[in-house]
Amino acid sequence: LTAVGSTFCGVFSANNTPDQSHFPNGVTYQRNANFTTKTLLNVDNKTTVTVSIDPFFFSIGSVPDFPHVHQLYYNPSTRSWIDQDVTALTGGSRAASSSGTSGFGSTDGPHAYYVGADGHVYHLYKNNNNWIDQDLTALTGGPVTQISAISSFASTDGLHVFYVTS
Amino acid sequence: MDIKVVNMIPKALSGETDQDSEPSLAVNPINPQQIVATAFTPNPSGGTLAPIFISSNGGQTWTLNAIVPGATQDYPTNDITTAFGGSSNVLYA
Repeated sequence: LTAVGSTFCGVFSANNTPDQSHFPNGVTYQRNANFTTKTLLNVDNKTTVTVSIDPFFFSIGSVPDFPHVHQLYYNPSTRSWIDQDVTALTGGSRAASSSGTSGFGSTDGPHAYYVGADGHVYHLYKNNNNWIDQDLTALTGGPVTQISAISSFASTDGLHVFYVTS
Repeated sequence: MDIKVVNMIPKALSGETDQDSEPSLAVNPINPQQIVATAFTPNPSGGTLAPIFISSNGGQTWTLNAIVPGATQDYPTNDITTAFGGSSNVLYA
């Protein structure tokens, strides 16, 4: 059992009979199971499987998620603004709760920068129309920071990002 | 209070009848949606790597990933425990 903010998360192993009376707060099975006949089913979803011991994850309260970086962009063809969760698209690092963002467009596409929850500076850019999340601190070996101020620009000699260390 | 319970055995392993006991859990402190769990779960493909359970959505769904060295034919998995580095995003086993 471990605490994540005000949420408890834990794991236990128990008899895996699919019987709702064993789970007064409900349960979700990933493996095939029939809760009416209280039987486990094989991958064919027909053949019964012997009861055994399975691991069960549980949480009390919603597992928190740290901030995501979103992009708002205007689509001229539909004349509408669109909200895009770039963190979800890239599966990249979550942002520090106080992180600012900085960004610009250059000849090779859009670039955005933020400070991650791990204190690293991250670079979001597009490659073949897909957003990529790049850990600049890991790439450069630079120091981590707990300060969220960040600034960036492109010039004729390349890309530049400024941040302040803790 | 929202209480969630999830049987972690993936659908593709619906036929498994192992004794997946003595579990352990670790949550990434900089991304709590990333959770790793272990149990006496053998690698369904055999081999020298033992599996861990991985969730990237706060425990709603789980997959098995065989990445921990040291499994043998007699001991296809062991008492694996895992922990995330405080702010490093690194998982240790």
